Amino acid sequence: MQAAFEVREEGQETILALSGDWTVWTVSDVDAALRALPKQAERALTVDVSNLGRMDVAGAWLVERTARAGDAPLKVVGAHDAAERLFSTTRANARETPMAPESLHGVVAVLDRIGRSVANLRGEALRSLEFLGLTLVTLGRVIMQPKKIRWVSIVNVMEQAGLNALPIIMMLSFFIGVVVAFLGSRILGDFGASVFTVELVAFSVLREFGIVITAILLAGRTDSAFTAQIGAMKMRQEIDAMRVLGIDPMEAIVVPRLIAMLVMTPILAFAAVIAGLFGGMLVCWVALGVSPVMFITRIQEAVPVQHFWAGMIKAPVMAVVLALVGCRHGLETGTDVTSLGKRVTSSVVQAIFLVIIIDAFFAIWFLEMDW
Amino acid sequence: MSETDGVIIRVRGLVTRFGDQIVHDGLDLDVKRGEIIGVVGPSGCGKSVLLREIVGLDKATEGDIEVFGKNLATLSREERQGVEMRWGVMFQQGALFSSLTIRENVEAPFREHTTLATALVGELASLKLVMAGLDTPDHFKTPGQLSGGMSKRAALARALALDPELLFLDEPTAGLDPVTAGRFDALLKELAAALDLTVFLVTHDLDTLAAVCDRICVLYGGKVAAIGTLDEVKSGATGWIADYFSGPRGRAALESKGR
Repeated sequence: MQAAFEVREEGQETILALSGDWTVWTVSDVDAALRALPKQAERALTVDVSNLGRMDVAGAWLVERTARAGDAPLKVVGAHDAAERLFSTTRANARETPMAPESLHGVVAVLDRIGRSVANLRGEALRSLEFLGLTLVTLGRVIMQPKKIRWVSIVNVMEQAGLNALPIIMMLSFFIGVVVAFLGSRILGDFGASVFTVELVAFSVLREFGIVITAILLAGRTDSAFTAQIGAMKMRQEIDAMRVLGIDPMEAIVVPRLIAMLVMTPILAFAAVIAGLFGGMLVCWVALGVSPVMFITRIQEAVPVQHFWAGMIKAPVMAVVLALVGCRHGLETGTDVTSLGKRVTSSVVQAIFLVIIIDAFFAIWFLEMDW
Repeated sequence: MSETDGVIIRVRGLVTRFGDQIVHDGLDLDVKRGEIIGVVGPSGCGKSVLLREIVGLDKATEGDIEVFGKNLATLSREERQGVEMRWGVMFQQGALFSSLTIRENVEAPFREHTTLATALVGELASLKLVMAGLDTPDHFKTPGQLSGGMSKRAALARALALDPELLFLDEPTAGLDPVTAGRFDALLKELAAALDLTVFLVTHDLDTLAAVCDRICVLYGGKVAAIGTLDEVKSGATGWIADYFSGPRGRAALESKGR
């Protein structure tokens, strides 16, 4: 039944007569009308509940808000089984409703966020370097005492983060090889130089795509998993538990992941290179009629082995970046869920960013060194 | 089907199995309208699972559960939502949405289900928080900034947002210090009386049982081993129940109530 009310004067008193159900589902209709009533300054309204249906706290609050004047209790006429009880509960708990603290809006908020993140960059860079140093020190200590190396943990991470990524990395790299070969056969074909497609595929896959595809995929797959897992451990105080048990989290969590990544990233990158070349080889065979034997012979003749090393030498660097970014963000997670989400996001973004930047630096360096 | 004889929750022949492990083995339970019922039992006896099955979060292996005279399993989506709006649930860890302030947490059910004006929603949310014992300066904190006791109060306020008839509480005083837990018990009793609530309370806390519950239901061996007022359950107690109530912790709690 709909909520309704009527205001009438009876002698000295102003009566607010309620009818219908006054519950959270119905009071929407009367809210605005009640708010529009002239505010009673000194004399409280008398509330007539004799025609009132059901009532809950929401209804009682509306009546309180309208009829209240000063601290005098509400005058109620008529009989209702719940109204007076609800009025007194509501009265006892009524406070001036606090206003939400001012927050920034629109352009200002955007500028505010940009400013904060720029100001934050220096701190992020410093903390990354600090973490790198701390990890290297711990790594050195662990290597000096080989008993402290946690082989089980290392092998576990190698399987989860490395081996399990092998199929997807090889598949992606295969298709990259296919795409590069198709592009090469089309564009080089325009110059009548489609035979150089073999070189194009070999150069790009060996030097760049093998390792970059691997690193980016590991950033999305492994680095995020590191952050999420360590972050969840942090939230459940497992990291604190390690500390008080005298276990150094750097030693137990970070170093095994670092070692596992150092081992697995070159292997994965190698697998990616092979898969990429295989993709290119297939296209060359199908589209250009270059047989696999010719393809391999041509690579052996025209592509010096240094191009392979120019790609592979980046793998350990990427491994360090991925392991450290993932672990650092995990360990910096706060205690609430939102911070875990933020941390995983920034971990992945930072890892991919660093992968690309580092790759660019390597490219410039190799160019200058004439490698 | 409708609610009969003032029974608000009716559980019949409930069987729950997780693999080989039998949690409930033909459990029957009636909760009457207006009472505060406390469910106790040893760890792992399926108290929380029972609560989750009643509110439809977990599915029982066999058996019927009726709430407000309706069997949740057979309802359509809309009917089910209608039933869900008539109860409030408070989880053990509070389960406040961490991306919202606590007032926004309480506002969430209003925004989702009602057509009330924004200003009124804010007023009602603040009112509910004050009722749950959180004064106005705390209303714009985020859940991460709250202590354990305050989180539970905020969670209670959210459970009470839409003025439910039935309130489910999972271990409301677990992890609170005795003083805070005592205040929470008092608050619960007061609100249950003021708002005419039926309360289904899962707890380990003997103080809470003694202070607020009208009836106590002991789960043991997959069945309701005993049900009744505290004195009734205690007087016929054997085995685990006797250990529970007459162990040193049990005695202390009951003595402090002067029983």
